[in-house]
Amino acid sequence: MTANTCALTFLSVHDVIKAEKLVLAAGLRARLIPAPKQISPECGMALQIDCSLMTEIDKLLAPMQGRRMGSFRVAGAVFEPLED
Amino acid sequence: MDDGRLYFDNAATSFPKPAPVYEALDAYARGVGGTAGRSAHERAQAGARLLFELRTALAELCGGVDDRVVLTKNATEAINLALAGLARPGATIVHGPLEHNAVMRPLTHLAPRHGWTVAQAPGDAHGRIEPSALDEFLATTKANALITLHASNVHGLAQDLAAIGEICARRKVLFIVDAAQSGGLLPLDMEAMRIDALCLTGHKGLLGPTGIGALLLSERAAERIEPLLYGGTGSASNKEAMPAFLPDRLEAGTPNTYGAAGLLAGVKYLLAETIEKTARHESALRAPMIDRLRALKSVTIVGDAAGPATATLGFTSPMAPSDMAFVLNEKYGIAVRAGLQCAPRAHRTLGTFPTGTVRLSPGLFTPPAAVDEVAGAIADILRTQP
Repeated sequence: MTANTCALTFLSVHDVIKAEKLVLAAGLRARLIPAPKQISPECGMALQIDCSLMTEIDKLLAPMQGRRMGSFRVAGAVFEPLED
Repeated sequence: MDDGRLYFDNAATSFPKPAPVYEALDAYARGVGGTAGRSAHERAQAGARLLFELRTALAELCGGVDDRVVLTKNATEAINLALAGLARPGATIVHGPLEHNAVMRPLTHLAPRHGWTVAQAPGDAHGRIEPSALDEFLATTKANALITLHASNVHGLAQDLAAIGEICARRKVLFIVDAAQSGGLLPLDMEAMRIDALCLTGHKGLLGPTGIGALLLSERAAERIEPLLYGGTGSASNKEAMPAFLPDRLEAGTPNTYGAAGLLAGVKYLLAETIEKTARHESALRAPMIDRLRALKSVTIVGDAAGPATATLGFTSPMAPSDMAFVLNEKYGIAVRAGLQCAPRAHRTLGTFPTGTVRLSPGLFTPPAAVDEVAGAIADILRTQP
């Protein structure tokens, strides 16, 4: 995990895996990570990505609008919410 | 297990399964083991990916949407969930003339409790719903929902889902389909057939193990359906109410990930083989079976009609169905099913209640020559039995 690590959270486990598939299929890097309950009470998993890819990934995940919960910058165990 | 016996009971459960199904079950049990959605470690992730793949594969096979694939333990649970979760108090529910007890028993139990009016749709001599008469029937009964099987578990003939779905959509009638017998064997397209709730079991034509099935929902059904079970989902754990989103809202309790592994392998097998090929195989077994049984003068075929069908067929003869099944098994090593096949409504419609029929249901791996062998055994029994 680097200083440029971000995480995305979703409604359900199905959604976070779907997002991972979409991102990986586009040739971008992503991995599933455990997420603290305070930021992901819904499914306990988050999609870890490089923050520099956020705009590109936002476009990729546009069809999942309504299934996304939040976007965070990750520093160690700290998940800091990103502004919209 | 190749014991030289012939298995003609695939309508009860398919056997054998494709080799990848056994391999997937073993691989999951020994190599994965994690519970989907309950943790985020690698084993749980592998389980969650597996459920995702299964929902996606089922949606692809049936023209559904993966977010709206709800995993159940079988078609019966899916049907109960669809009826109890979708039909409102005071609703009028129409069913087909061939329904299995998976439909009739929940209707019988729930109707008086919810003030439902239950009516049977008009059908032809084989119990197939007549689209030409259905439109007026739905209007006259002021129906809110229609539930029908796709293919009959008694004689294999299929309902015209596209025509029925079109009428239901025009009448704004919720369309629920029991595809326990047809899933994996006949083409299904939820969107084209305007199906609101498609009920599947995993262990028949879909070639998976027992203990897993699915309910696929249209968008409008997904918006209104209520859960059948309440409990932990691994999500929204800070709330004591069920999550509002699918599929979690309808999937309380630990999922059958082991069964999902096997079912996924079965569905992938079907997708690779193509459903059209499977349907052709069913026809290639059914047609000669009818020809051979027609040649036996004392046999009456149940389901002898043209039209889309699985390979399942029924017959009666001067011999009691249970006696015929017993001799076929004991003397010839042929496994069939006798009696009412949990479908008294269908047998009343077909005039075979209460004795029932002998049901022959070859499967995806039944060689065509086996049909001759079974027909020969039936002829032999009828010739030699007192």
